[in-house]
Amino acid sequence: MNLLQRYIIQFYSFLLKDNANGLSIAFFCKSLYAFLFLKVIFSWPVLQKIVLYSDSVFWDQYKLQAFFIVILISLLVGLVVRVNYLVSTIIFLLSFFLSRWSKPITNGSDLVLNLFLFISIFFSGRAAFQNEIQQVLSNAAMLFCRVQLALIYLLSGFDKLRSVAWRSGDAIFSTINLRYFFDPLLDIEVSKTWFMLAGRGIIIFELAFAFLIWVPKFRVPLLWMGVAFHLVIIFLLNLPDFGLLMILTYGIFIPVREEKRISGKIKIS
Amino acid sequence: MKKFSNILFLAFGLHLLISFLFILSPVSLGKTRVSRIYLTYLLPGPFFSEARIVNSDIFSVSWKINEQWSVPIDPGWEYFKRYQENHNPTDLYESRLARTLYERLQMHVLAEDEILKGKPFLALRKYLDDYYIPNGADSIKISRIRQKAKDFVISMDTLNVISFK
Repeated sequence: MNLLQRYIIQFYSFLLKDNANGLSIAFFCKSLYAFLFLKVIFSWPVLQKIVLYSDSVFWDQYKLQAFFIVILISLLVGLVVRVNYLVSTIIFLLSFFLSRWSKPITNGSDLVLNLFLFISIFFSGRAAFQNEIQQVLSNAAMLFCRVQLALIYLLSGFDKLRSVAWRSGDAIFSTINLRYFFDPLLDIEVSKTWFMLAGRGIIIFELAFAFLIWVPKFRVPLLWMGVAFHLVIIFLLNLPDFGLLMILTYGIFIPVREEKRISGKIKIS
Repeated sequence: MKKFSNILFLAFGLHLLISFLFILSPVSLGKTRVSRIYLTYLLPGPFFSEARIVNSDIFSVSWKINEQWSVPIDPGWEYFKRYQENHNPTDLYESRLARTLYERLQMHVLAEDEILKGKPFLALRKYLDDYYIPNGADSIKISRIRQKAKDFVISMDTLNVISFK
């Protein structure tokens, strides 16, 4: 059996898994909803200012209040009820709309959030699948989330690998001197060797994550390393939204009980 | 169902192929609208790329009242420091908004008269009037300093100043 055939078999076996992973999906989706809920609450005073200081003719304070109520209610419903297509779609659309409108205060976390909220539309939150389409769609969405997370790390890791500044550690020096990001009270004075080690360590971690996350024995250690990496981003680079969201997306990789395989259904012609 | 699974398999394969092309050679698929949408929404990142971490623009505003210039303030920085003290994310969002209002002026690109005629200037002016500049100020000055952190050295790269009444 060649490599391609093996991948095809693995792909089909994943799509045809009959364990709906309801808990795992609920944990993943609801953590994203909770994140968005907190983001709306904390950014609300600033969103009102964005309307005041932008030349938007669409928004006024009444529409703004209505949007605020609708998004919070949708998120509360999403947090309480079982994950379903309708609520997931509404939440994705509201989040997409919100990030378009709040562009002055958005960052990479908003793009990542919207990507995963979009994919989560196809999740089935039921304990058991009702039909084969639901089963294949939900499993494909889960696989797609995992692939996307790995690709995000691969893109960042490869970009850094190409960068002389990242390989030499100069980029770490640049990062800790970024105004409005790095804690101004912290004074880090280390040799260039340490900067280089940190820069290369980050490159190795990001590239390793993209590939080794698929190997079960490396998964848990990589997730813990990722949590530590993003905690540094939260506390030293003052990007709580980005760091927290990346940690939450790990939910899609949290090992669940070995699912029942239906290998008998797989036939490769 | 098999047909549907086959379509999904092909879609996955195509997506992976396009993504690898973008990752390995970002310019290979050109700068079309489709590639921009793909990169923005399907392949977010790369984060902390070299081009984005070298420069920091430092903005400040001061005003003249009773023939005396005030101490320059940087609203974005003030909010950022406040976040350091209380860890309220709202202050971070405030800081980002203040910085964006300044950055939209494009002081490093546009001439002073172009800046003063633009909508971003009106928005910033309104923001400063509402929160910072006291009544009776007869002149206002906005400055931008580019801080560059490269080759393990920090330098002040450029300086732009605009003044208006």
